[in-house]
This record gives sequence, C-alpha cells and structure tokens, in this order.
Amino acid sequence: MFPSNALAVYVHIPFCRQKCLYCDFYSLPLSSLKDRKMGGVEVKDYTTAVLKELATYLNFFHRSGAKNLLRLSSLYVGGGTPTSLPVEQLSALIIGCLHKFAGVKEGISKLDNGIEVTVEANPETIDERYLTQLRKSGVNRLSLGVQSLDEGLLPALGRRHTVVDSLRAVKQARQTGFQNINLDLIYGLPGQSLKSWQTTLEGVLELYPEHISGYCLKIEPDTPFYQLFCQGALALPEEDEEVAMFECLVDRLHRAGYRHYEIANFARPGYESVHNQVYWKNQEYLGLGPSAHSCLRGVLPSQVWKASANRESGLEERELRSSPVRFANYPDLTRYQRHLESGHSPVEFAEVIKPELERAETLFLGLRLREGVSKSAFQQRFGLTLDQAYPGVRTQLIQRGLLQEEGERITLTSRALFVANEVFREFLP
Amino acid sequence: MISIPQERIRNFCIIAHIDHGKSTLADRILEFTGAITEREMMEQVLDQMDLERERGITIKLTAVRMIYRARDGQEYMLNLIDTPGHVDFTYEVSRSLAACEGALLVVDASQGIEAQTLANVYLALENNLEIIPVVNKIDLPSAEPERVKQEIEDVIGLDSQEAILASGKAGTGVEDILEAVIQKIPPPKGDSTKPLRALIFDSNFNPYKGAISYIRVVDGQLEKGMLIKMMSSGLEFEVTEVGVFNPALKVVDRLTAGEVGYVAASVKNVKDTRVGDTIIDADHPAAEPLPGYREAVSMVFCGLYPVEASDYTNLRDALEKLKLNDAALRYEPETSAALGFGFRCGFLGLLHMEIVQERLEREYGLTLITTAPSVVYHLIQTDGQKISIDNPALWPAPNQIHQIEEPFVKATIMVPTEYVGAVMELTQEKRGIFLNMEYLSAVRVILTYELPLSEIIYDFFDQLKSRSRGYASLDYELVGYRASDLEKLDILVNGEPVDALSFIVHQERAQQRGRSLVEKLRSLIPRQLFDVPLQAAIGNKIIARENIRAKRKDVLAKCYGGDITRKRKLLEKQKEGKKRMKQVGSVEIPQEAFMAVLKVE
Repeated sequence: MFPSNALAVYVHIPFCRQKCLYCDFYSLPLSSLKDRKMGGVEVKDYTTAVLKELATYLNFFHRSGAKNLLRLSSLYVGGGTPTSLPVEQLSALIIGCLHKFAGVKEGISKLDNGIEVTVEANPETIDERYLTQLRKSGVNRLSLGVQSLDEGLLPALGRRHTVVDSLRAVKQARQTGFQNINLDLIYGLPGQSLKSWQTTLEGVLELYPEHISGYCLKIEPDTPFYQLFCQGALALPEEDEEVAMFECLVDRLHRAGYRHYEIANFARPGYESVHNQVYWKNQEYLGLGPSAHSCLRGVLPSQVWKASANRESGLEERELRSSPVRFANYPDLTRYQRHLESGHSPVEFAEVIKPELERAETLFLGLRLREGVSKSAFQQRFGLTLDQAYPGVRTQLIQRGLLQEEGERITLTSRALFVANEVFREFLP
Repeated sequence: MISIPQERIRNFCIIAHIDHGKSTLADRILEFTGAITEREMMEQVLDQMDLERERGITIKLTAVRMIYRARDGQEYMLNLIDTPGHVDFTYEVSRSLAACEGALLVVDASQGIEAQTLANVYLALENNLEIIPVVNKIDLPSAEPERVKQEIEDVIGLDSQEAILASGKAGTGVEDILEAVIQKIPPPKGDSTKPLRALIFDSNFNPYKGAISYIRVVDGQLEKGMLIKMMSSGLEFEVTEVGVFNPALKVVDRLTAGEVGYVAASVKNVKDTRVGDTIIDADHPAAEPLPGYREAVSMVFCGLYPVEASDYTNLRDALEKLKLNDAALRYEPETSAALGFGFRCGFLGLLHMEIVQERLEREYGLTLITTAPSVVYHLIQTDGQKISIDNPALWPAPNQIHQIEEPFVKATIMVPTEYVGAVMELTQEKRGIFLNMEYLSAVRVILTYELPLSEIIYDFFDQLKSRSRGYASLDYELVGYRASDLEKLDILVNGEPVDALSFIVHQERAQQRGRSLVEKLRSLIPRQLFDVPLQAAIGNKIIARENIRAKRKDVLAKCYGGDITRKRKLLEKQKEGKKRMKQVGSVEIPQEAFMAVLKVE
C-alpha cells in the first residue's frame, strides 16, 4: 500500500465533442480549438500547460520539504470528455504527469500494484486501439459514462452514443485488460419510468462492472435543461418516483453483491474508488487545468494565494500554514493558459477553511460514506469531541431517526440517505 | 447669528402626497437659501432616517431654519417644518401644523390632488393656516398644470390664479415660492415680552443631551440657565442648551416668540417632554397652557416575537429605545402558546407597523415574527361585562359573547371616473357602506364610504391601488364602533392550534378565508420530514383542510472536489433560511406564514 498522505491529483480535460444538455461542468466543444488558432490554443499547448502547472507545485513541495506530496496516491483524469482528445495526446499527458512523481519513473507497468489511475470516457469516443494505448500509459481504471441503457432516453440528454456503443466499450475495455471499470448512470430523467430504470440496472449488472455510480438528475442553472425546466418543457418524474428509483438502485445492487459505500456509489468489495474517497474523507488533493479545485494544507505556495483574484484579506501567514486552503483555477481555458505561459498562477479563487468550517465539511462529506465518521478520528483531528463541537446535535438527530451509532462511528440511517441535507445543515457553524 | 425681528419670521410646512416631490423641492429651497451648501447636500436632507431615504417617504417630522434675503432687500428667517404624507401619520401632521402659520400645498402637475393631501389641507384650514398652492413637476412631459390648477380651485376652493409653477428636479419656481412665503404667510403673533409659553411639537432622545424638545416659542424667550416647567406634569428642569435646526442641531443664545428650535434640559426620559405640552418659565409662570393635541390613537395591533427566545430582552430594550423617538408606538408584554414571550404592539396604521418592524430588524439586528395585525374589538359578554380585545388569541368562547362591535372608518377615495366601478366593487366586497359620490371634474370622483377598519388593514389599500392601476388614493378617519357578526378562526398545524395564526373574520367570509389561508400556508410552510395536516376551525368545527406532504428527497447531487465549497454554501444558505423560522411543536414555520392571512382573498 502507498502512504495515505501521498498526493491525489485531478486533471481536468475541458473538451467535449458535444456538451450534454444537463451538464454544467466547464468544457468547450473540441471544434472550437481549431477555430481559435488566434488565441494559440492547441491540444498540445494544453498538455504543456497542465504539465507546467504540475511541475510548479511539485517544485514547491520539494523546496518546502513536503516529501509525501512528491509521491502519488491516485490520478483522476476527468472532464469534459478526456477521451475526446486524440489518444496520443491524452497518453502523453498522463505519462507526463506520472513521470513527475517519485517511484513511478521505474515503470508504469508497476502502477497496477498501488496507484489508481482513472480516466473518464464516453462510449462512442473509444475503440480497441484507444483503450490499448491508455492501458500502456498506466491507466488502470476506466469510468464510462453510460447513463442509461434505454435507447429512447439518450438523444434527449444530448448524448451521442447508443446502447450498443456502451456494451461494445465495456467489452473492449475488458479485452484490453481493464479490470476496474466504473459505469456512470443517471436516473430521474425526463420521460423515464421506474420500469426503464430497472431494465437499465439489469443490463448493467450483466456487464458486471467493479463499480457503479448512480446519480439522480439535478437541474443546474446555466444548462439547456434549466431553460427547458423553466419553460415547463421537461417531463421529470415525480419525487416519489425518484425515491423509488433510488431505493430500487440500492436494493438491486445490494442483492447483486455490491457495497453501497457512498450515497451515490456502489462497488464490489475492494473496488471502492481510492481517488474519490479523498474528497469524502476531506483530505488533500491537487487539481490541474481550468476550473479545477484543489485543497492543500500548510503548503500553499504563497504566490498562489496572493495571485488569486478572489480571496479574503487580512489573513496571517500563520493561518495559511495551519488551515487547509481550497482554491480553484480560472474556469476559462484561454485565461488559464495565458496565466501559466506568462509564469503567473492560474488560481482565481481561494478560501482558507477555518476550523469550524473544516469540521462541518468533514462531517457532511464523511457522512456521505456509509461507514460514516469515526468519533475518535474526529476528536483526534479537531482536538474536541463531536458533542463538544456540536452540543446536543448528535442526540437530536438520533432521536429524529436520521443518525445512528455503529460502534464508535456515526452514520446516516437509511431513512436519512435521501434527505441528508437535513443532517448536514446541523453541522454548519 | 444675526437677530431678526419677529415680523420677519415665517413658519411654514409642506403638504404633499407621497411621490409628489416634496423632499426634492425642500432640498432645492435649502440650497437656494444657502442653509446647506451643495457639497453638504445629500439627496433629501430632511429625510434623515435611512429607511425614509430608501422608501422615499417622511416618517418623523424634522425642522430646518433658513435665512433668506428677499427681493425687498430684507433678511427673513424661515422655519420649514417637514410633514409626513402618509395617512398613518395624520397625527404627526397635526403637530407640525400647529407650529406654523402657513403651508405650501405641493401637487404633482400630472397627478392632481390626492385623498390624503386633501385631508391634510382641511387640517391646515382648521388651524387657520395660509395655504400657498404649488404645482410641482411641471417639467414632466405628462404635466397638465392648467388642469391641476382648476382642480385645486374646484376641490379646495383656493384661488389658483396665483399658484406657483415649480419643478424641484429642475429647480424652477423656488424663488417665487420663497417670495410667496414672506408675502402671504403672516409673521407669528406671540409677544416676546410676555412670560414664556412654548409648544412641544416633537421630541427626540440624544445620548449626550438627554431628551430634546422640538418647540415653537409662542410668547416670551427661552435661554440657557433658565428654570423651565412642563405644564402638564409640573416637572422643572434647568435649560442646558437652546438651538435651531441647521438642519443639524446648532446652539444659539436664545429663542424668542415666533421662533422654532429645540431645548435641552438634561431630561432623562422622553416621557417627560410630552408632545403637545406647554413649556413655561418656572419663575414667571404663564397661566394658560397652549392648545395641545389629541392623543395618538393606536389603530392597529400585532404581536412581535423574537425568533430566538433568547432575544426577548434585546427586543424589549429595542422597543424602549424606539419608543423614545416615537410617541405613537405602544407596547406591552404578552405570551403566546406557540411563539413564547413577546410584545403586543399598537401602531397608527399598517405602514407605521411595517416601519417599526423593519427598524427593529435593521437597526437592532433582531429577527422577528410579526403576527397578523388586528384592530380593537369591543365585546359585551353574556354576563354583561364589556371588554376590549386587540389579540384574537384572547377571544372568548362563542357562548360567552353577547355582542361584538368593530371599529368603522369613514374612507375618502379619490379616483378617475373610469375606475369607479372597480372601486365600488371592491368596497362592496369589503363590507363598505356607500355614503356619497362627488365629481371633482369630468374625470375624477370622490367616493365616500364607511368601512370596517379591519378590512382596511387587510389588503384594501393594495387592492385599491391594483384595481385602479395606482390612480386611486385613500384617506380615512375613525368614526366609531358598529355591531358586526364576527367570529374567531383558528388554524391547526399538525393537529395543534397555533394561537398566533388565529384571526377574527366576518361570518360570511369565514369559510372562504379559512380555505384560502390554509392553501396559502401550505405553500409557505416548507415540507418537513413527515406529513403535516393544516386545518382551519371555528370552535370545534373544521372548515378547511390541507396537507403538506413529507419531503422525501433533498440530497441527490454528486459531491466531488469541485463541488465542496458550492455544496457548503448551499447548506449555509439553507441553515440561514431556517434561522428565520419558528419551531412550533415539531413543525418549522417561516416568518411570512404569520402574516399570510393578509395575503389571501
């Protein structure tokens, strides 16, 4: 096993062939790259920029003696659609990242022994050659955006793939040696029935993926779906129907031998996502690329802090050292690249997570995990007990049937899973 | 400061409807006379309270002294006393009128005279004030100065030949106004050689000087070191400071007959500087007090409760402080089974109530629950006992009530003829009794009705405005109590009666109000984690029922590295929203729900 405090790295690939109608992540249609030669933006340039950004951080970690952060615990390449890039480019980017870390240089083939390297993919963007190349670059986990196995629902989501594409992609991934596959699913879709959802689940189980994420559709502002929603043109299922879909998901996957380990995530034992658990355990991570978020403690390069356009003022160096800082890059490719090329930090926003916020985040993230939060770990981390930090809250939530104690851990009751904000709110300052 | 003889003093006020441009015009007058330089000029200097500036209305009256060199080459002292324009504050208007000899009647050149302006003009005429008509906003494209002048002549009977055309915005007509003030308004009458008599027309609490009386000296003189006596209470104080309004307080040596200013005398309590009282010289007491004012009558009552029970003492302290500057505010402690400890407060009207509530929240950082406003009902119980009730929660059981009376007002509504039908329909719905209809001109009408005050404090004004597209204006005065068939409607939330939601309603409306209120509450009370039944009941009889379905989902979204800050902010916002809710039993009820009864029909 790798040391737990090695670095978790996220790389954002802000390109898609076509944007899905419900998506509010930062991405550009790939065609725009060629159209915008004027800005000098090319995929090759993007790779260079990301590697330069990573190198800057690693240099800093090195100089400040944060040796643990020179080792990699997980690499997650998300988007956008990473696989919308030509495979040569994506491979070069991944290999470039991996090679910067201690202990990786000897051989990428050894990665399978310890470091989780995930790439998100859309079924229609990959083929055997693409997957083979990814495997060679050290990728050992594939996250496929399948969304639904109901052919009728896909086009309305703005997805460009068919059900056949999804089935083929999984098959090819297996053939090319992927032993850890996640399938992303969405329910609560316009026009979706419980029956359709059950059929999708049965189809997915036949593929026997190691990991399944099941998300309820959320209408985000600034998406085409939001506009349709406001016009009343989205026939979304009733709330009871959505709850039934969630319950069906939990129940069916449990019977199929999957562990429900996070509100929306299921895995066969031992295949829980290493990278994503970093978020839910409120640990440190480094995000690269436009719009990517990072959270680091005590090693934030001061120029990153100073350069961020949107930050609190009047904080002392001491606070910067002792508290975690969450920061995010400009959600704009051109600005991101311009800043990096001219030797500036691409960070737009940064906030110091003061202790009371860190406590709140640790709880509302930790309680998303079905294993919940360890009371002793909480006390160790914050120097006070849960009840000292939140007098009366634990008891009140237990009485309302929303929280339960399992040994020395607190977890959400199954009743609270779908209304977890009721619980999370209670821990905010 | 230069001494100016009494015959060159003019005391006047401005009567105008809201939005007719009084404050802007006043600002121009101040600028013109140099009472303040342009650099000091904040828009609407007279409206000092933040709230006044924001809402563009005048709540507390303020005074200002100006020196004006007239065309005759002489210097005059002008005291302008500001008056509120809203019907709620008629009481304050009557106070300022008593300190003046004349009034500017400012009428919007495109709107014409409004009901409240008319009421205030009559008040001024009763006080024998000289009235100078000013047609304002003549620069607007929609201005019809000739029509408005004709209206002034027809409705009020003033000779409008000499009406001044002005524009506060453009600054035109200001000098004409000032000349008219010195030529038409008589100088104050009093005698400075007689023993002191000064009328308190307002009072104010200053943390350094104590209670400050705003006064009009009628006879005699007032200066520092004098021993003065409050005629009604007999209390004596030594004068520590006299001064004028510049518009900020400015110390002067003395105030003499005819002048307007303030006096500070280390008075610890504003109660002791009762508005309407006469200040006399303790050593040479005048025999006769000046005519005072009628007491401010609280017409509207509501409960004010802190959302956080621990804020109760803060609320009490804040009310105490507000009361120092607001003689019309009444309050006393009360207890609600649902809301805990709070206060029953009495107000001049709905606007007054809103303003007090807003000031408490804004200036004192309190989060409050306001219960639906109520009027005072007179009840005769079956045992013959007469009681007054301003809180529906205290309503006796139906079998103990022999007779119920509710307050009625005489309402004057001015409206363009095309909306007469709509207004008549509205007054009918509101149990109005038609008294009279009079044509002001071919296009405008005055309607006079008697209406239950309780209907006025519901949504009458809003309805009147919306059904007349904003053109109707309203004034009303209390005319007495009438017997009515009323009953108490209770609201049950999750099976428990919530006393703070009870209200009094006419029998014929009970069914419908009950139904629309529970419907409204269903939309206002957020879903809980369990089903919440809502019921409206009269006595033991349930007359309407709704159900708030349990919330089944509120967390669905994925939550990864880039979502954490956003997610936390969402939770923070939700938590903030909860702070504005009151836990009643196991249900959280938001502030607005307690006022919902006002919003249904």
